Amino acid sequence: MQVQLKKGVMDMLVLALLTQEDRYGYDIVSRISEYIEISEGTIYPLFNRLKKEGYVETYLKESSSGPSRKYYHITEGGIEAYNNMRREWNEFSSIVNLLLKGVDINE
Amino acid sequence: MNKEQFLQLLKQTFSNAGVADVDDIIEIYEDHFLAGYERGLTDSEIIKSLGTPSEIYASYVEAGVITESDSTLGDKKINMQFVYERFEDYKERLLPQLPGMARTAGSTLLAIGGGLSIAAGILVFICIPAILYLLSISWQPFENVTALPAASMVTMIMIFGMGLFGGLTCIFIGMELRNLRHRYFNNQQ
Repeated sequence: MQVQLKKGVMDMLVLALLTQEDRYGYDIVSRISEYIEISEGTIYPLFNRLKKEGYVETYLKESSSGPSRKYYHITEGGIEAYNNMRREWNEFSSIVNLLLKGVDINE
Repeated sequence: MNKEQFLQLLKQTFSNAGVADVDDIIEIYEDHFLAGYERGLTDSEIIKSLGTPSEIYASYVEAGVITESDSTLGDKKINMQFVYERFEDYKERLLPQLPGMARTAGSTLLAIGGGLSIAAGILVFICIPAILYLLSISWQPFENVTALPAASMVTMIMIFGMGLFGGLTCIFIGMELRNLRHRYFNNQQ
């Protein structure tokens, strides 16, 4: 899949995962890369940006094994942003699907 | 490549680009390795899934979340250090010498000024009579060149007066400078 396409939705996917529950970085990254082929290292900067924009907050939590982990928690603003992104995505994808309908050229 | 090598390479990539908060970024990837180990992944598996250091760097640039430390500012810091060092050196070595140096310079300048003034006065006294003599005669050193006309008496007296007082002024200034030098510097040497 096109790299630019993936990048466009990555913010939304991260926020989507965080609406379910608070997660730590590796958890988010590995969940996304389970379904989408992407270099995991390139997802981490998005966390910084989402934090900068006030969409997520971080806190440290002890893990059962090893050192404490940095958890991400979605904020009110983050939920709002996520809902907007999701609406836009739904509109956009349905339009794209509509345009693609019937122009499926068989090779 | 193992974890250490990868992190080292990553650190280098960010440092070379002049990123300020390198350590915070490296820490994220260290944690990533640790979390990967917990799931039983090996170094090479984790590195393969992370992507290359340059790829990671590019993603930070794209996300607009890195602070690049201004390299020109860095140079300035070094320069300022150098300036401070020079200034300390100046304070320690040059400053105590400065009054003495100023004194010597002042004394020398006064001596030179006084001498030159007196010499100028004497020169005026020698030159004015010569000029007056030349102006008073109709001198024709070359046959085919018309003789200079002799200057009128009034002009000559004016030149004589200017020469006399000009020369005297020069000599007085010179003597005054020598006195000054004598008064201020000779008794302190």
